[in-house]
Amino acid sequence: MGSSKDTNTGFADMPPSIEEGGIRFLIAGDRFVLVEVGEGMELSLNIKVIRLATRILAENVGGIIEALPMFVSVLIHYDSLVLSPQRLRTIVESVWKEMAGEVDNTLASRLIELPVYYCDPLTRDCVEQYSRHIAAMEDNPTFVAKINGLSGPEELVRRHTSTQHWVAGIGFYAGTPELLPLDPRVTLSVPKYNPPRLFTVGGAIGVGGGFTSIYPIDSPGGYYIIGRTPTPIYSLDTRLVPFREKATLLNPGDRIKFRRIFSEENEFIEAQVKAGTYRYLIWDYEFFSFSRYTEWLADLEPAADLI
Amino acid sequence: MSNKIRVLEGGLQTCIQDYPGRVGFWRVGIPLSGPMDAFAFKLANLLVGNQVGTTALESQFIGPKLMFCSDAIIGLTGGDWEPRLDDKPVALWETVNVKSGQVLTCPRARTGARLYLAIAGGFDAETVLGSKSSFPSGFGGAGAINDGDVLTFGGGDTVWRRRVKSSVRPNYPDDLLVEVTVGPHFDWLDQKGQDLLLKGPWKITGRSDRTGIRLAGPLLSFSRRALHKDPQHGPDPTNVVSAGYPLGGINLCGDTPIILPVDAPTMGGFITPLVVISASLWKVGQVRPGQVLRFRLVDIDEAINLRRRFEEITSSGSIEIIAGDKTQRNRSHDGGGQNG
Repeated sequence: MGSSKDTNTGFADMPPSIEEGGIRFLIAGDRFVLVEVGEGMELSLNIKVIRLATRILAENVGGIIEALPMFVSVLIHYDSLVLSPQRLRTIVESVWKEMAGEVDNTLASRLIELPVYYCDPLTRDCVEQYSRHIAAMEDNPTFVAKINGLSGPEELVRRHTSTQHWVAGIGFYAGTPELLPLDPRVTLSVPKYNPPRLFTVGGAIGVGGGFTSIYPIDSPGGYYIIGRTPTPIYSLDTRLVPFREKATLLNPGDRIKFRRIFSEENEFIEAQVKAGTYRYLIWDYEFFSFSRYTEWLADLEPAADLI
Repeated sequence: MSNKIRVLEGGLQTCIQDYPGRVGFWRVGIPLSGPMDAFAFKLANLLVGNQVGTTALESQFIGPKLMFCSDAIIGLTGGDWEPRLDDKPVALWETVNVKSGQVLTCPRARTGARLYLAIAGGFDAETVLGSKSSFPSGFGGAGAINDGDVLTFGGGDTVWRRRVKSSVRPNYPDDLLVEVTVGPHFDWLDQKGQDLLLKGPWKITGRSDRTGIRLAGPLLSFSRRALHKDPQHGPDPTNVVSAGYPLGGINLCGDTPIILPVDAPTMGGFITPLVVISASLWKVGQVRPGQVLRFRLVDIDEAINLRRRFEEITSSGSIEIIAGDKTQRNRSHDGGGQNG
C-alpha cells in the first residue's frame, strides 16, 4: 500500500507553505477539493476564504459548480470531466496570488437583525424532554451563565445581544450558520451535549465551543440552547422576501444582531411569519472593514463588566 | 387524464428521486439527494425509454405494494427482491408491461439494499430548488410515500422490450471493495492507521441510511497532525475546525467511520481521511447491515477514468432489445441522454 504522497499524485503542499501565506490544495474524491488557508479560526483568514470563494466563482470557469467557505477553508464542488483538477488548481493559485497583492480588506457585509425570545418555553421543553428521557440536564441558560462566571441568564442575554455575530460559514443542513462574536469580551465557552439531543425545535439558538448557531429546522443537536427566534432562516415560503431567490437566509460574511423579545412580540412575529407578511430587517448596503475592526479591537477596554 | 398508481403499502422510506438531484445548493447545506445507487437508477430509466435522470421510485429493504390503475411500462433494477406481479415472478433488468388492475409486490431484499422502479414518462413530483428528488429524512422536497397515497405518472410512448446486458448487471457481493481517493485528512492517521482504514474489514452497522452509512471495525491510530494540533480543532484526534464535507467523504467521528451519501450534511467538525470516488458511490447505496467492505486507494487520474467508464456503462450502450419481441414501438427520445 502506497503512502498518501505516492497516491496523491501532484497534490503536495504548494509553495510557499501555508505558514508563509500559501494555501493547501487537497483532493477530496473526483468532484471536490478542499483549499485550506490556515489552521486556526482567525477572522482575518475567514474573510480571505469568503473572498476566495467569491472570486473563484467570479472567474466563471466551466466545470466549477459551487464553493463553500467555512472558517479557514473553501470546499470546491466541480466536474472533473469538464475541468481537470490540475487546471482547477492553477485557477485557485492564481486567484490567491492576485488577492495577496491587494491591500483593501473591506468586504460587503449585510447586517441582519434577528429577534430572539431568550429562555423561551419551546427550547425549555426540549431540555426537559432530554432530562426526562436521556440524561439529567440543567436549565441551559442558567448552566451556560454559570460555567462562564456570569450572574445568571439575564447577564447571559445582555452579553449575547451586545455584540454583532459574524457568519463564518453556512452548511450542515438547510443554511445552518456558524457565528463568531465580533466583540471578543463576550465570547462564551460552552461544552456540547453528550450524548446529543434527539430533538431540537427549529429556530433554537444554540451555543457550543465559542460559537453560536441557529437550528433552521426541527433536528437532533449538540449545542446548549438558550432561546429561539420566531423568524425562519430556511424556508420555501416565497411570500417572505428573503426566500424569493433562495431557500436560505444567511450568507458567509453577513453579521447578525440578536434583539431580545418577549412572549407577546414573539407571538406577533410568529403570526406575521405564518401569514407571509413578516419583514426581515436587513441592512443590505453595509461593509465590514477588517483594518478598522482591528483598530477597534486594540482600543477595547478590557473590563469584563461593561454590560 | 393522468395515469395512476395506488400505494397499498409504502414499504420502508420508498421515495421519488431524480438524477443528479439538487445540484448547486451544497454550499448552503442542502444535499444533492437523488438515488443512492445511480447505476441501477439510470439503467432502470433506459429500460422504459426515459432520459436517465427522470423521476423513479427508490425502495430500501422493504419494498412497496402498488396497484396500477392504468397500463404502464416499468423497469425494475437493483438487488434481487423477488418482485411479483399478481403473484407471478417478474424479471429485474428488463422492460415489463403492466396492465391496469395488476398489483406489484417487492417484499424484501434478498441481495442489495435498494430497488428502483422506473416508469415510462416518469412520476409526477413537485420541483423544489431545481429537482424533484425527495429528502425523506429532512426538509424541502417531498417525504417518503405512504400507504394510501396515489402516484401519478406520465405514461406516453411505448418502447421496444429491452434488457440490461447481463455483462453489466452487478451482483451486489457481500464482501465489497470500494474505490476511494485520499481525503483532506489522510495524513492525520499514522501509517498503521492508514493501512487499517483501507483494509478494514469494516462491518456495516444498522444505524445506516441515506444520511450516513456507519461502519464498525478496527481501532485506528493517529499521526502527530491529529494528536498535537491547535486546541481550536477540539479535544478528540478526529476533531477539526469545521470545514465543508465532500459527497462520498468517509468521516471519522471518534472511532466510527461514516460514509456520507447523497443526503449527508455538507459540513462539520470531523476529519475526512478518504473519499469514495463518484464512480463507486453507487456500490455503497446497496450495502446491507452486517456485510463487510474494504477500500481500494486510487489516484485522482484513475478516479476520473473510472468516472468516464461509469458514464459509458450507464448509457444506452448497455441496453439490448429482446430479440423477436416487437410488440411495442418507440416513437421518440429513446433514452441514452446524460443527466436528463
